[in-house]
Amino acid sequence: MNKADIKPVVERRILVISHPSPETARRLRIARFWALRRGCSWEVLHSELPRAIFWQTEEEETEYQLLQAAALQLGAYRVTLTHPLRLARDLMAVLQERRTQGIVIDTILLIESEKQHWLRALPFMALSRLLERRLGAQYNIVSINRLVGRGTRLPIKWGRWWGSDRNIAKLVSALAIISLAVPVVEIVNHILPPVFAEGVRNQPLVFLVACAFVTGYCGTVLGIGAALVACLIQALLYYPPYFSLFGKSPPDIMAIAIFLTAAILLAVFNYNIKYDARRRAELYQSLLRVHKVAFDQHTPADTIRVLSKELTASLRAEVAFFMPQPHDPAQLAMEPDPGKPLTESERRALEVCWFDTRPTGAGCADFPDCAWRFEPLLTPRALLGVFGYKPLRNGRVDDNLTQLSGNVADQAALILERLEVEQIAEEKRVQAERDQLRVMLLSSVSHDLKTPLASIIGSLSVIRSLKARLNEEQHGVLIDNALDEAQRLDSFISNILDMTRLESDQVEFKKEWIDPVDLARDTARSLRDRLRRHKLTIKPLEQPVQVYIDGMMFGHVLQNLLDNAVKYTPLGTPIDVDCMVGPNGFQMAVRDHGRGIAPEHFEKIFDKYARIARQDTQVAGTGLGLALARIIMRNQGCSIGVTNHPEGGAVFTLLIPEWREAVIAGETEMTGAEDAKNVA
Amino acid sequence: MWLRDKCILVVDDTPAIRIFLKLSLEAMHAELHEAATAAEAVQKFNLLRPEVVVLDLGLPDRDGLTVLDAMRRKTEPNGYSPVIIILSVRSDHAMVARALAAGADAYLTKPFLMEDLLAEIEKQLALLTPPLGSSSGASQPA
Repeated sequence: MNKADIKPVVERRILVISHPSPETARRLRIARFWALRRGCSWEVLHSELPRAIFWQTEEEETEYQLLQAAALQLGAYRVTLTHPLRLARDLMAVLQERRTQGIVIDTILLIESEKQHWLRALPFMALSRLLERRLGAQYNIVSINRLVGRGTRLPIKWGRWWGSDRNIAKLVSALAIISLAVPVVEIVNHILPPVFAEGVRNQPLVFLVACAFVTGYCGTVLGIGAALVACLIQALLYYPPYFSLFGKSPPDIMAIAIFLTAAILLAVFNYNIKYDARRRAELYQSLLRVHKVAFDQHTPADTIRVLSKELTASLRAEVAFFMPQPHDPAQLAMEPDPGKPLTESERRALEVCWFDTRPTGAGCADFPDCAWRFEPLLTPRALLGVFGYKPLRNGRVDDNLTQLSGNVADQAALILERLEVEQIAEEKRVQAERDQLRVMLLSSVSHDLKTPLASIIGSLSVIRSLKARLNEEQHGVLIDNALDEAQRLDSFISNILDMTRLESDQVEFKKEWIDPVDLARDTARSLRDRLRRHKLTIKPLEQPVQVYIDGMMFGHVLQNLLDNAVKYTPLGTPIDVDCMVGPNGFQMAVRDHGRGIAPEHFEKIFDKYARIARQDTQVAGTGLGLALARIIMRNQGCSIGVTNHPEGGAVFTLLIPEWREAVIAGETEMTGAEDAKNVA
Repeated sequence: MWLRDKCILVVDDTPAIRIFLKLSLEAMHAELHEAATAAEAVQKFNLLRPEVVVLDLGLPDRDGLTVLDAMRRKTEPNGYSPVIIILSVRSDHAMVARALAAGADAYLTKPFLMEDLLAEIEKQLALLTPPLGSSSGASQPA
């Protein structure tokens, strides 16, 4: 290559060599972090499987396209396809081309699957030498597998000796087994030919086997005890002077000591194996439990809280999740907050875990002295955060724990990702529903505004065009009709404005002591035109009462209830307003004599969206009146409900908890307990 | 008096609209019948065999289009085919097209002027061939 062709350095780049594998997408993400951390761009040389060399199936081509899209989405500069047989040639071509473009590639990142790791190591070493010889430059070839290792093996802990298996039965069994060794030794010595038996100490082997039995069957402590007893029996019975512990020759003492050491080591190893197996079982059971509990959560915050609580107990460790902040994804926040900040070393370990997406801290090659261990919360699609734990009370981070924590991190990442995906889907669904409701609300409001307008315009146009044909009475009916509808229009507009103000918290309720019956009469008076075709009866209490409520807003509620009764009941039917005082407060019931309301609609009629969610052509109004009534009542600590009267018609009941008997300042305040008063 | 003795069925759930339609059409000497629901409309249609139906699409019990469909299915081979005029607040093209495709003769959007409705009824009655003429008597209520 001509040196004149090499342009000045304009960019540093990492070349990633990938191949198809379920892990590839995940590891591309790691490559991206690597490049980001070094401030380089990156590109991919994707080496296909031999079978896919001619794109034999559409599926393989699709797989490649998906991978290419994923890599480009992650910020890879480009993705070039090659074949393993052409890999060296294509790689050199890429490296040469980049040099001519002024792009320096000094690091080649290999994405290898676990199985292919050793098989492919040799060709890559050869490749490294080839590149150096042909291109005259040294390349740092790094395997991503080495970056994502799960930590190092730690020595076995020599502790926690005592099991829970010490009991009389086992003690007796242990003694029996050791005692049994004596006749077995005698039998063995008797069976074996004297030539073979002579000079060969059979009894240590037999006693060692007995100790192994005791250890396996009765536990470590009794195993050690059996070793001591066996040692004693041998010293007394098989090494001269017999039946004495003293005066043994040095070789015999050595033999006894070796036996004792072997038997004790056997017990200790047995303990460790059992302890490891038990601990592993405990940990995996706890993992299953944690997974089950966490899977039931509905929000990431709840999941993190539950996981933290459960894992603190299961791992016997202080647990925390480090999640990126919505306003600054580069910053990690510790959840739950332990109150004690991380040390500088711990923070560095956390950053390396986050940026390099690999475990760091206790039990790892990186930051092994760190009290915390950090595991990336990584899914095939995203890095969600970091899971960290610090074993309590000088606990150790052993293989079981590192395996478990790796699994916990993977499980937690999947659960959190699922919730994130569900949250996005839910937000989209809610948004779509909201958009649809907005359209329907507009349509419904338009209907409610246009219908009275149609009556007004229609009535007036009849008067204008058919004036000569109408008598005075018909003339009057049309004028009344137009006026009624104008009032109805006014009522609709007021309701819409009230609802808007209530929903944007612009309404300040001014509660005061008022006479509810007076207010009902005033409301009826203002609605006299609309009520003229019905017979309204307001029945007050014998003893006048006052209620503590915003009078003007309560008037709106009554107006809507009366309006509703007029709208949905036949002409001429009565409307009754009854008052009563119950255990929960003052009640005012508005009863009509219409067809009543189907019980399944008792709640829906107070929902402003319930009616507009019907078929467009069936929209009969926004139904804001009742929805508004409920909001007004609830905002004042009161309530509204509906039921059907046994004798027919709907009964809307308003409950106001704060009431008192009317303060009589003079006769004028007493409205009196009139039996019934027809307002209309 | 082109509406004299014509049997007209007004279907609308809003009493105020029925009131002014009744007054005005009766002033034109038409024989007017009212219905506030889809069920009532279908029942009266079958009973009265009206020559003109003024139909609202937003009915409380059923979609007005289903009423229109039910009425059109009652069209008989002997030529009985009433004029059906839709009155609706819906003014979008899709709804107008659906109503016309379902057999409506005309579509007026609310609010409307009475003159426009009368003109539409007159126009549609004039378009009927053969004119109802003597057969109109057969469509009167028994």
